[in-house]
Amino acid sequence: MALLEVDGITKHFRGVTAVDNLSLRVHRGEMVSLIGPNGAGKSTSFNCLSGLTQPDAGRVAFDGNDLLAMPPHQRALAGLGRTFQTVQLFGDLTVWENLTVAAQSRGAVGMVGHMFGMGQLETRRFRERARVIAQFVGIDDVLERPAKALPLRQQRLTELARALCLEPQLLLLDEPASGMDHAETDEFARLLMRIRKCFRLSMLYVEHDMRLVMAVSDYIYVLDFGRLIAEGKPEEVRNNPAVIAAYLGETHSAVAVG
Amino acid sequence: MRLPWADRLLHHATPVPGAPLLEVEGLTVRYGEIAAVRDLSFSIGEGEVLALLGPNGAGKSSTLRALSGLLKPAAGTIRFRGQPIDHMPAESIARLGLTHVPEGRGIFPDLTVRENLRMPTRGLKGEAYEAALDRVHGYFPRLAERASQLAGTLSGGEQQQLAIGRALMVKPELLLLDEMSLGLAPTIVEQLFQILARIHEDGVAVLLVEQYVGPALAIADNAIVMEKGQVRVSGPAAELARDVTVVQASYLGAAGAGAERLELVGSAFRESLGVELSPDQIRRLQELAARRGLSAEEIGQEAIERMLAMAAGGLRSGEIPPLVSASERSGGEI
Amino acid sequence: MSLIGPALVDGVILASLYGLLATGVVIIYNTSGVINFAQGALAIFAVFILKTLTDHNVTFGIAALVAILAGGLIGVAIDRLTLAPVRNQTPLNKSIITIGWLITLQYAAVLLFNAGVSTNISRICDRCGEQVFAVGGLGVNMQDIVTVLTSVLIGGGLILFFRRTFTGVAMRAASQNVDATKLMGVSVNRVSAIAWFLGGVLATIGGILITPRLGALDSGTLTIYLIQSLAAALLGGLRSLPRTAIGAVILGMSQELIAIIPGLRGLPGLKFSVAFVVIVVALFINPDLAKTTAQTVTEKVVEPFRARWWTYTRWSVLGLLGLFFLLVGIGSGGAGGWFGDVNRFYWAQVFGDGCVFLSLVVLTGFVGQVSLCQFTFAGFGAFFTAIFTARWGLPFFFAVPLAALCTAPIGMIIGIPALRVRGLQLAVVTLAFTLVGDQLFFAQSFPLSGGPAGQTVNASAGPIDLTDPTAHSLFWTLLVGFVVVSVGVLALQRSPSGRAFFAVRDSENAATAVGISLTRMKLAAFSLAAGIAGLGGGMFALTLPSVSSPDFSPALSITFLALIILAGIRSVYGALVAAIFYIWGPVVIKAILGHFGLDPAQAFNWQQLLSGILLIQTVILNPSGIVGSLEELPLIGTVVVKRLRHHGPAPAPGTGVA
Repeated sequence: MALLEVDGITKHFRGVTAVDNLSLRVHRGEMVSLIGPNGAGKSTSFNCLSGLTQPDAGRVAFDGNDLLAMPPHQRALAGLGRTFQTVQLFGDLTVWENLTVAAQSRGAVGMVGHMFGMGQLETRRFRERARVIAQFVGIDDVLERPAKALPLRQQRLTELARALCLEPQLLLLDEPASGMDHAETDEFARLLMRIRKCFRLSMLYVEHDMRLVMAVSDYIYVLDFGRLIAEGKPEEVRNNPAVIAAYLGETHSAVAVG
Repeated sequence: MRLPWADRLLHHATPVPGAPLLEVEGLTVRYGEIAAVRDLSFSIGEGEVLALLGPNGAGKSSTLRALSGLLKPAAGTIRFRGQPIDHMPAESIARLGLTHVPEGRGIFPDLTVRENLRMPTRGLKGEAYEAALDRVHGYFPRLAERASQLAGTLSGGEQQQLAIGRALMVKPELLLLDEMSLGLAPTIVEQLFQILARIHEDGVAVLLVEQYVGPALAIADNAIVMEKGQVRVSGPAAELARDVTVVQASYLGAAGAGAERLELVGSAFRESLGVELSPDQIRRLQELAARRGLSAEEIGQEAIERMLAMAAGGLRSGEIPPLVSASERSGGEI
Repeated sequence: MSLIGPALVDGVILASLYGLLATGVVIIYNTSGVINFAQGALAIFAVFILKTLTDHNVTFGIAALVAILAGGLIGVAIDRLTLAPVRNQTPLNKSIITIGWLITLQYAAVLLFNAGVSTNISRICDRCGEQVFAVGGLGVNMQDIVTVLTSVLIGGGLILFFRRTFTGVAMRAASQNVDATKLMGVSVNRVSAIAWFLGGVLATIGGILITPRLGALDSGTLTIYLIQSLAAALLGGLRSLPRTAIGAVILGMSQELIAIIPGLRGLPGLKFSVAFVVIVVALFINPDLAKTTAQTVTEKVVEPFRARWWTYTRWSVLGLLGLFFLLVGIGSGGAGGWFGDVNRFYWAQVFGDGCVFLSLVVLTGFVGQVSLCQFTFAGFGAFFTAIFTARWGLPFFFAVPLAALCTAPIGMIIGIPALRVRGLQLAVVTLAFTLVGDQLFFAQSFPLSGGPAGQTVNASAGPIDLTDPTAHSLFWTLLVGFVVVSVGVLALQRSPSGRAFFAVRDSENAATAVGISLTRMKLAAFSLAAGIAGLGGGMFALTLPSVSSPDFSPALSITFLALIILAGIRSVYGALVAAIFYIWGPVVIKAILGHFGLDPAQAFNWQQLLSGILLIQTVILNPSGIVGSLEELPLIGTVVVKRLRHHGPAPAPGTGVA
């Protein structure tokens, strides 16, 4: 059974069908990308998964549970983390506070308890996790700065780190590398691989940068006008000269580069 | 605080004879600490079409917004017919004959088409108004058909027509068009460019910001390629069109202009897919890109999409899968 | 059956009046993106101009024209002077400027025209009081017919204006896309000024027509009508004039019809409470109401400036304060002097009100939920305390916390609409709730208060007698209470729950994405804030022999929000400063007035006027609410002194991690 099973998700907006009968699978430990032109319905699909929008039809099973029946914050607690296309940090809080807010959402002590100074032990545990993640992602030198004062790249890293603090099983990443140049994208790709290995996560992400997609994905889904038009593994394209020849003509066959 | 009588003085100030229509010197636009546009200089003559090209974030829209007065420049001067306009409010600049069709079209969704068209005319009545309306309907007959429809319910292409038509209601001398093709199918874009050519023939100067390089260069007299707020390349459009890889180099961010023309597209493909193409295949890819007006990245993405479909479908060589792509899907009229 | 007729007729008349005021609000909101909270105060000011003129034997017609023109010009002045400089600020911030104008205009009217005293205003014309016809016992006179006709004509005229004239279309355009409007060559400043002129004119006409109905001109009553019209505007979705008309009709009708339902007839205050219920019901039936054309994203209340040097000196200031309060507390007997009994009593009141300000810091500062009804919660706390001490004989240290606990669930009632609306609209909903509290509960004899005479408070029950005229025990008790609550709020601020609150304030979407339940947080915040406000109200009650409805009028809740914004809405110390300003301001001003030979009885009014002006200035001078190290001190900073930089907890780096 896959970690995430999406079946037949459909969403209409004012007469436009933003997502049309989308089905996909993310298995444990897999990195799956969702590509397609602008307006293809990728962000809307994410919103259906994370709970910001309710789909008009379809089922979603996450770790065996019915995801659509859970309220949005519950999905986060169930292990579904996400980042946003336009970075949504808690602007007035410092980077550190952004991380700890996520880490301690699993806390047991309530508001009144905090007013009486309880919950010190679990707070310490959450802080540990936040610190480790901050070092891993590489933002431990800006922990004290208010989140809105950071440059875009570090804001994206902070948002990623914040999602990690939630102890997720699956990360939904919405164009996490947009605005980065080539060097930064390469570094980001390496970071994603490291995250997958160390945190044993699965990822579903939307991306435009083809180099990143081909480098990192285990499986690719292609969306256009809300519909799935193609899916497959990167190798099927990379190692298949026949495919390339078919697309571009057979004058000389392509040679795979290592 | 602006004083209305001072404004009127400025409006009626005599334009400097012999001055170019638009002259920009050392324009710098900042958002907070980030400089979106850095020390940009160019000029536009009467009836000239200038294409402003470049990837996302290059500063093209910010330039237009500074020209039309929506943004105040941090430095530099902007002169319209010799008159400095860099600190005039946007509404005064619009009345001078410099109209801006912004990104996202800027139509009023809850007003009808007719009401939208009325807006720039500022109470013009009677014959003059009817004449202006007829002229705009001449370019865009669809708008006449849809006069009482709410602008928000029009299709994307129709909204773009409305936005441009609205700008033309007051016979501008310089038209700023920001990403007219955004979100529209290529066939619709083609039709818009044809109409734009007619507008150009009628004597309107145009500053055209575009991501689609091909059609923009075809219609322009001159072109500027921007990257990260500065000019990378500029010159007559015909020259740039011949050397399209130089343009695409800026999209890829490759340093230096020494990249060979064929090599560039091939390297994009290689980086995306990890395959080495033959020169013929590269040329074919390049033709596809130019014909469709796509950047190297976009053609790479499309290639992956198609080839995934082919691989999954197990098609034999020579067959292109019947993928319904964006352009064909919405085909037909605007 | 015979009751329905008059109710319907009355409903129509009310609907016309609400419609007039509401239309002005909607026009202003749609064109300039601001809710004009000062609509009623503007009406009052202009009507008083009318009255002054008629008192000087100017014919009514001319006086009315002058007043209407004046109303329009005041509107334009508000827009040009105080809103034009801040066009880029959020709608919420700009609307807070209009709250400043509400206070300023209201108290300027009091000071200039003696408007505080209920004044009788002569009828519009001598024959207007004549009954034209009667419907089932309700006499309809010329006055009422003029009212309804005027509203309908104006309404029709405005609809034509917005559809047919160029200016009208331009104003509609400006509400949809400001940048595009500028690009069309239309001056946004001009369009906005026209909208405000119309709004001011409509407010004045509404005021002129309402006043004879009220019989006497009282700024408090007009506030009620303002709140009702805001509710009507909200019901219409703040969008178009026809919808606003429908909203006004719904509100006017339900208000009258509810009062004739058998069984509910005995509750006279129910009429005005209906607004709140109708809005909440409407919001849940039609969630689209919460969306408006003038888009508002996450809006937080403006942060006033911060003075960096305070971060370093705050401990010394705290120490000095502590020393000062110690001296006050153990001060010698005798009424006068710095450490005398009278001053000690004032300080005790400061601590009581300080808790109410703290509730605003938590609710609006921490969680970002705008609440214009905190003092109403204080009222609940005060009345509960009064009942518990006087009727049940509980000592205060049981009664007050118990009162707070009883008030907290009431807070949850407001929390529910807060799940659907935010920002400006939430502010209007909370304002509507003040009427519920005031009219339904406080002003009536049952169940809470003792009716107009108020409910007595027995602060001497139990082992400690707080009614001691030297105020020693009162001072220490309330000081301890305030300190305890402050420490709790500070603890909250530094705790994970506090951070969760800030998260909700900063980005609701992101908060959801990290597992924070918005529902739980908002309801908890409202309950907590209501509880704290109730505690403050109870403490305040202990300083008085009795509490009655005027002590907790809706206007006071507005004042409290204004003052805490001035003082620093996110800081606990700001609550103390606001309370000091509120209690001690009139005392200081009284002394100043006496010194200059002016009437010291007007001290409170001067203080309010001052706070209104200060609020306007503060919002304008503060550049778009950026927290951080703003080092500039606006001119007024020398007047309202203490600020503290909001500082989150410093993580202890390097505690044992490799």
